[in-house]
Amino acid sequence: MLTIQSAGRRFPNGTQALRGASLRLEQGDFVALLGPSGCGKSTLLRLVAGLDQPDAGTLAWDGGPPPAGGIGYVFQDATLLPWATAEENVWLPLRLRGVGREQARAQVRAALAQVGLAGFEGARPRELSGGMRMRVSIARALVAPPGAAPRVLLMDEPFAALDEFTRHKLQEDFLDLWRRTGTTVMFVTHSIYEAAFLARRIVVMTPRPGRIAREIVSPLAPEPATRFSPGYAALVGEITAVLQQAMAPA
Amino acid sequence: MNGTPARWAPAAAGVIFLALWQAAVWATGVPPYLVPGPLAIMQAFLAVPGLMLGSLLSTLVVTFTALAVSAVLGVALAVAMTASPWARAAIQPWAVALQVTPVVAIAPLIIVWVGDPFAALVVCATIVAFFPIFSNTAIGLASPPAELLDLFRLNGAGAWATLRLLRLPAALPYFLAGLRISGGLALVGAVVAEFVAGAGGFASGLAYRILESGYRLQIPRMFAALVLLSAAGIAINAALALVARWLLRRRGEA
Repeated sequence: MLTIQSAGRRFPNGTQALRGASLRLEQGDFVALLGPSGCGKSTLLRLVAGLDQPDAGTLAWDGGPPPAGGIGYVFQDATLLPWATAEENVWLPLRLRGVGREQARAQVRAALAQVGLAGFEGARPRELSGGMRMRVSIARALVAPPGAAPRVLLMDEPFAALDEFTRHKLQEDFLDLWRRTGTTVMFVTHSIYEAAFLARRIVVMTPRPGRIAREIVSPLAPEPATRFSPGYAALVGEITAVLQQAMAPA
Repeated sequence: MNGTPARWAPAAAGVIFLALWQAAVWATGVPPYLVPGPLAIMQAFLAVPGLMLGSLLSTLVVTFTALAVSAVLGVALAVAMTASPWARAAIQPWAVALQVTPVVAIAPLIIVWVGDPFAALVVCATIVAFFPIFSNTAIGLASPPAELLDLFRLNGAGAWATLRLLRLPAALPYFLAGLRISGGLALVGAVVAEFVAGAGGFASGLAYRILESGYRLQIPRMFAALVLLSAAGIAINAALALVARWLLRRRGEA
C-alpha cells in the first residue's frame, strides 16, 4: 500500500526529527510506531498523512497518494467540535467532501454503532465521558467519502490521555473493530504494553536523531485473551530489551 | 431557593439607600438645586416624561446603531486579519491607534467633518465600541486547536469551509463576550459625543438634557436624566447577557 524509503525530516530549528526511516505498509496492516518522546514517531505519522513533507527520502503510495478524505486521523485528544452533536462530528469529514446530512446519515450511524455509540447520536461532547469522546473521534476517522476507500487509519497516541480501565476497554474494542473492518492502521504509542497487545508489527524507534531501530513481528493472536498469555509477557520483554539495547550509549 | 437572596438583595439595598438619602435631604434642609432627594428627582421626571423618554430613545438609537456598525465592522476586520498575515499587519496597529485615542479629543473634528449630526454621533460611539468586538472575535477565530485545523486540511477543506464550519462557530462565545463589553461602551461613546456636540449636535439625547438642565440649574431633572442613563446601561448589559446565554445554550454550551 505504501513504501517509505529513507525518509528524513529536519525542522527549521535544526532538530533532526527523523532520519533514514524505511517502512512498508500493507493493506490491512496494524503497525505500531513505538518509542520514547522525540523519536520521530509522530513526525513519521504526519509525513504519511501528508500534513508534513520529508526533506529526504520518498513516500510512494501504490496507485498514487490517497485523495482528500482518504486518510482517517485520530489525535491524542478527541478534538471534537464542542458545539456539534456526536452525529454532526462524525459527519464532518463527509460534509467537507460535499456529502449532505441525509446522504451521510446511514454511514455516520453505522460508524457510531461500530464504536459502540448507537443511541448517542444527539449527545454533545461535554455530555460524554473521555472514553466516549475518543470513540466518537475514532468513528469520525472511519467514515470515508465516496471514492476514498480503502481506508488508512493514522492514530497518534489516541488512548494515552485515558484512565487505565477505559484504555483497556478501548484497546480491546478497537482490536475487534480492526478485525471486523480490515482497515489499515498505523498507530503511534509510547506504551510497550499497548504496542504488544494491539499491533501485528511493532516498529521500535529511538531518539536523537529519530530513527527506526528494529521491526518486530508479533506472534500473538489479536484477541482480548492475549493479555494473559505467556507469549504477551515474552513479547513485552523482547521489545523492552530491544529498546534498552538501542538506547544504550554507544 | 438558592438564588433568592442574590435576587432581592440588590433591590433591598437600593431601597434602603434611597430612603436614607431622602431622610438626609429632609433632615438637613439642603436645597434641591444642590442635592435633590429621590422624590424630587422622580417629580422632575414625571413633570416631563415624554421629553425624558424621547431623549432616552434618541440616545438608545445612536447606541444601538453604533453597536450594530461595530459588530459588522469588528467581525469583518477580524476575519480579514485571520485570512491573511498581510491584512493582519495592515489592520492591527491602526485598530489599536483608534482604540487608544481618547474619543473626547477627536469628537469635535468628527462633528465638523461629518456634516450629519446623527452620523457624527454614531461614528464617535463606534470608535469607542468597536475594539472589544474586534479583538475578541480575532482571538476567537484563532482559537481552534492545531489538530482540528489539521483535520480540516486532511479532508481537503479550503479557507472558506474552515472559516464557516470551524473558525466562526469557535469565535461565537468570544464575539458575544466582546459584544457585551461593547454594548456598555457604545452608550458611553454616544453620551460623550452628545456632550461634545452640545447644542450643535442632535439637541435631543440624554446627555444634552443633562447639559441643558445644568445651564438652567434644574438639578433634579439633571439627576433624572442620569438615572435613566444608568438604567439604560444596566438594561443593555443584561439584555446582551441574555442573548449570549440563549445563543450558547442552543448549542449546548453554557
